[in-house]
Amino acid sequence: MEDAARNNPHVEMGGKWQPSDCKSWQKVMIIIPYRDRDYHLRVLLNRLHTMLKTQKIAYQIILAVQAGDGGFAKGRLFNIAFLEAMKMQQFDCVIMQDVDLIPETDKNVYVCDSHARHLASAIDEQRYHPMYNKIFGGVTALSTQNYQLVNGFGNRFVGWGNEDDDMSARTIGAGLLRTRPPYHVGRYKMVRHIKSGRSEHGYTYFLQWRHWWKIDGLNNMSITKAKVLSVTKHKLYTNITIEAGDLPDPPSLDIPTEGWLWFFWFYLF
Amino acid sequence: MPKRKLGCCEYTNRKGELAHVLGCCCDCDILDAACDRCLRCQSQSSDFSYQMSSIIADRLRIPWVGGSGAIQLQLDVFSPILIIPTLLVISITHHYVAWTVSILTPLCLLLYYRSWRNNPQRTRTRFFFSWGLVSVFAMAYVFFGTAIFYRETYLFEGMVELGLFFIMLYTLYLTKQDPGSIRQDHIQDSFMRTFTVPKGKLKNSTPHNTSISRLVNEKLDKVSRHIRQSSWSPQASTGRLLTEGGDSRHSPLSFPTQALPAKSSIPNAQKLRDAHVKAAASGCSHCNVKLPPRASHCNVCCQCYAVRDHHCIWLDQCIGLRNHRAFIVLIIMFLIVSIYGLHLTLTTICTPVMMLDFFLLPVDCRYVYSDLLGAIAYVSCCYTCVIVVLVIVLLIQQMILISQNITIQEFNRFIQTRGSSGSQVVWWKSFFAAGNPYDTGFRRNLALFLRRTRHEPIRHSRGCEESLE
Repeated sequence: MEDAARNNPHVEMGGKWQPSDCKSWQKVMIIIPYRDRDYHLRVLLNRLHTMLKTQKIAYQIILAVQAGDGGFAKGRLFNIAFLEAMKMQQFDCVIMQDVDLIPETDKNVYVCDSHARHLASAIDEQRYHPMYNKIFGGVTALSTQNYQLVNGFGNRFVGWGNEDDDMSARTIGAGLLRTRPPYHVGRYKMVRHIKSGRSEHGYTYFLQWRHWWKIDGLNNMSITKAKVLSVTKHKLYTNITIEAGDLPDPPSLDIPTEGWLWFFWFYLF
Repeated sequence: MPKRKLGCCEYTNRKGELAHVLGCCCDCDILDAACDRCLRCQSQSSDFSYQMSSIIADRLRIPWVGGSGAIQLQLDVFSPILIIPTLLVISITHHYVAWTVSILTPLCLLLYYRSWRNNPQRTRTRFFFSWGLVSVFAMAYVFFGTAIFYRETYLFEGMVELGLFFIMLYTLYLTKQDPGSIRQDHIQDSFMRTFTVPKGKLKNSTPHNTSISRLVNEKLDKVSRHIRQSSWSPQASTGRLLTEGGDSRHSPLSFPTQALPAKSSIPNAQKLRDAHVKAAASGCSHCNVKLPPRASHCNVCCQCYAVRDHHCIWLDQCIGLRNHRAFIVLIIMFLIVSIYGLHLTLTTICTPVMMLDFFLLPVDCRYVYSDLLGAIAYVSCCYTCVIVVLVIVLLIQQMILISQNITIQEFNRFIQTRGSSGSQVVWWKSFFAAGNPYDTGFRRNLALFLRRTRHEPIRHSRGCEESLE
């Protein structure tokens, strides 16, 4: 971490920076959900700060750290960190960045447009092209209005998988389109690691998205009992430690579920 | 024995008695006798293993409906179905095991093939064919099932690979067609085409035209009489042929001679031609047919084929005049399918690196053993890599031989004659049969091969046909 700090002396306390010679277009927050990936984080921060300075973007990097040993609730971390960051400053754009994805080029601009922008369009692990058209995971950018419009992430996904597909479905439901940088620009390297366990009931929750997306998300954070434990400013990032709260109820069978036709439409087209 | 329909589990064993599948472990005299001898500390009879294996082969059956009883499981066909998955399971333990198994397996197969070929009492086995087929389908299943249609490749890449795979299967079907067998009823026709009747006449005549057949027979008789009278009888010793080599110009079947007036002093060419004349003059004693030049008898197929190249054990098929082209296409298709499949699978399971902005190269394969499917796909890739290297060697050999219009049979004969003459050549020249009488230059050789007309007499000049008149 010291190396990264030494390489990026321009960064202010709390992982903030803005260009002095011009007024940047958007104020960007970059949320990185994190737990026990020290090496990945060092590599990523070193890269991100350098790259964002080159792109002259006013940004703040926010590390959403989950406390405790429970399942990794990525959606809740994003939502809580978003609400907490909006208290600090009025951001225009929120970028959701996975800790294991390192951008290869500086040309992939970390700003939002009026639609849902999928920045990680070409990950080396996935043969440098999106695995399916509706994929919306890895590194994504939504303007704050759009983030509130799609009601944030689903709070019900605990463990690896499906929360990104749910987000994709939410953007579809909110009438947003996906935009992507060209594949030679949106290149990312994935730092390899053993995948954590798949989320329980992930597919069931995901296929019930039409029922949940308006009532489960940013607007019902109180139900999840997730809370902020501490907000500390470090040299390269702002650390928000979050307790994930209660596990969600098991999925109810009464809720209408998408059929297999929709499933194939989602993954194949 | 009264004829009646057999039940699904009944069968007639090799002694002609009615037996039942459930009794497969009962009533084995050979084993009883062996145990007796064992207890009495006597030595076992020498043919014990042979008898045991034949009994096992006889009793290994699966129940089948249809009145003909339980069908016999043929060991040579079914053993690869057991062996290949076992090897796969063994090699998913570690990188080194995978590579060791994938290199050792083809070597063991080649050793087994050599021992089978050198065994004088060999019988036709479908083991290698079954092995090849099971390998191809297992690899295809692994590639398509674990990697190619698992979302990380484009759909069109998978469809292209699948289409190429089906084209390969079709060329396999074409290769399994008749390689141009010479049978008693075909002999007139093939002789007629090969030697006597020029192409123009042939077009107007039906193959079984009796008058032409008679004409051909008369000519053949004349030819063979001529050969018997001259020194070109099959009994003539090689040394004598070497010394009187010049005479072959006067032999009625020496049509290639005119093509090589300058090279005729080369002893190898002479010998090749002599062997050719011998083959033409003699017939096949097994099939009881007269052989046109370049045809030979296959000991495994028990049949004679025109322009026979070799017997391919992996296809259980002779490669001859009619299917040689399909065979080469099959090899090329196999290489394309395997290499493209390898590319897709390895870039999926390993971490690829973009080369020159358009080409993916798998570099980091450290994590393939972290999940089962990745490990299976990786092992299949190792095996396929080794096979691809071997097939490339085969393809290069075939290319070299086809470019000089020579079959493997003729080339081996050439090697033998060179070995006996003891002449040393530069290593790369040893791939080329000097003074090959069928060599008409690269382009014409290729054209002859592609048109499948390698059996026709080579017309360097008009002389070859006139010499028969």
